Amino acid sequence: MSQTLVRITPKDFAPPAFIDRMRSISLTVGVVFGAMAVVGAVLYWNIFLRAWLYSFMFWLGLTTGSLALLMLQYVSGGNWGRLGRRIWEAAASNWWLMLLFSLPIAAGMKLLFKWTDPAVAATLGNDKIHYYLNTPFFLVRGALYFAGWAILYTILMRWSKKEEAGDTTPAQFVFIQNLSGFGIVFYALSITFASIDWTMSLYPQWWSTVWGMLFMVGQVLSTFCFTIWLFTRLSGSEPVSRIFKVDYLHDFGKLMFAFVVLWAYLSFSQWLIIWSGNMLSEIRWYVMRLNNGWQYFGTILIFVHFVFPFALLLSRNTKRSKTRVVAIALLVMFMRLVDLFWQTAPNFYPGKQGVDAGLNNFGWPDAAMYIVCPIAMGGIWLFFFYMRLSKRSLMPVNDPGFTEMLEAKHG
Amino acid sequence: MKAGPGPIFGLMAEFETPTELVHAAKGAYAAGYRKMDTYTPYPLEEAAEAIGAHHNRVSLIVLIGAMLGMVGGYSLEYWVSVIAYPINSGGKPFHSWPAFIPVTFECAILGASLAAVFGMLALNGLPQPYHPVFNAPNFVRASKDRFFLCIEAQDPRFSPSDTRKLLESFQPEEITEVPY
Repeated sequence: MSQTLVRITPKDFAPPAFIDRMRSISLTVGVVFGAMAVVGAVLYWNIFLRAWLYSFMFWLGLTTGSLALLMLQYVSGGNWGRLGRRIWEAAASNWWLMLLFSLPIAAGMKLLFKWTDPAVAATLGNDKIHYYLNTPFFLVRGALYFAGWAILYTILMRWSKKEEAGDTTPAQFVFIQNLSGFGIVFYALSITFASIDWTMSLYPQWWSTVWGMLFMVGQVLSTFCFTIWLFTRLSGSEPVSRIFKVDYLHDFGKLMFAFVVLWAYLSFSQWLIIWSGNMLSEIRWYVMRLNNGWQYFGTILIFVHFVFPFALLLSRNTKRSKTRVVAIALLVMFMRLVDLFWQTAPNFYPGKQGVDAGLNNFGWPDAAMYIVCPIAMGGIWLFFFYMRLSKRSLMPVNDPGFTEMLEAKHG
Repeated sequence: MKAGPGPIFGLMAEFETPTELVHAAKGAYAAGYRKMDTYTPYPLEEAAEAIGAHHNRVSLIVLIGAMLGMVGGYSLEYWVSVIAYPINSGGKPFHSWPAFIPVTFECAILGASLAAVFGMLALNGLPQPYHPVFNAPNFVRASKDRFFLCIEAQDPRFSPSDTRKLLESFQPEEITEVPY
């Protein structure tokens, strides 16, 4: 067969113009809702902080979840990794934005975290708990997590830019693989401690050893959902449409399915072990969440975060249909937010039998803040994300495996 | 083997490249043929796709197997813990469904995997000690360097002359009648 050799350059996969349009929409949404969040912060600082914390955990999930997938695909290889690489690089670049977003939490931590009050810390039943849960150490730990993420991101990005310029050698690829392997270990440790610090310590009487894993799985799951949505969006037009194959969608669908199952597996293990043990120290976390109106959210999570997507994604045809996979991805992404809500919010509205009734204390300002904050943060996050995405080619064309992806499978 | 007209298994076209095979398989599928198969030296996902090999009943059988395993596992636990040997453990109700879930899940997986293996074997007719395609003279090369498409005589649209004409339109290396 006669073939013309064509050299693919990064220019051939320049981002389409509609990314700029999506960027300006994000900015508008971010500014409008950001202004509402600021008004809310002035009027209801306490409530704003609670909503801000859960939004922070959600968007941090997309940022560090992307960092994790970026490192994972360097270690494992595979087409799915090459397709998502630019998306995850752009998302992980938002680490500085998340650092900025964490400042209100640091400023208001006295209101969020009860253990900051020495009087409360004394009632926690362990006189050594302040070795870990004290304000300076909490802030230093936060700085360390961000420093680690920033360093990993910077090294990965420097390599990626070099590769795009065509200046890399196979030896350097081995280096980036080894670094990624180490980086995944750091990711696991940092998210374990970060999730304990920022969410589990909201109720310092309680602990769960699977907590960090739950957050890692949640972060990667929401990143996959986001990637599926954006990748499908991009695949409808040039340049991504040139290499799009239904098999890629199928692969992402399978990965999303796997993480939906893993989330259910870990969440259920935590519940089953605590339920079987039935110890006061552990079960009260669930008692709080299965009464006073919070139980509806738990039920929604079981069915909409697990049963429904699980049943649909079992089918091969569903995983190969753009509209259906995207619809499920967006639904699961929304459920991630509901899950974070269910994990964090009841701590602030616990409800005591006869005294006050949990969700009944959740008024209109609370609801408004819990809706406005994630949208405000998301608009700004997406603005910087699209800005990064539009600066570089959408595919790593100099990756040794990339040429293979241009070929039809049957030669 | 006797020469001359007799019942044949099908018509087999031989191709040099996988691209030609996939093209021919797609063409035959579009022409309405369903009873056909492709034979290649290595797994060729697109050839399977082209002849509609993925539209089979295995997934349905697996689903049924999983359901049966699920119901069976849960029923067994219910019978053991509630009816046959009710034991008060930690003051929990006899029907403690959260504790039943892991075994229910495992039984669903067991049912699904058994259904997958045996359903697959039942539908594809394996093990099959004799298969007529091996009567085609050049067929050994299917495990080496050639790509084959065989349209079977059982297909309602099959006619020795028309099917041959269709296969010829894909310009194969050779077309052979496969005897039983």
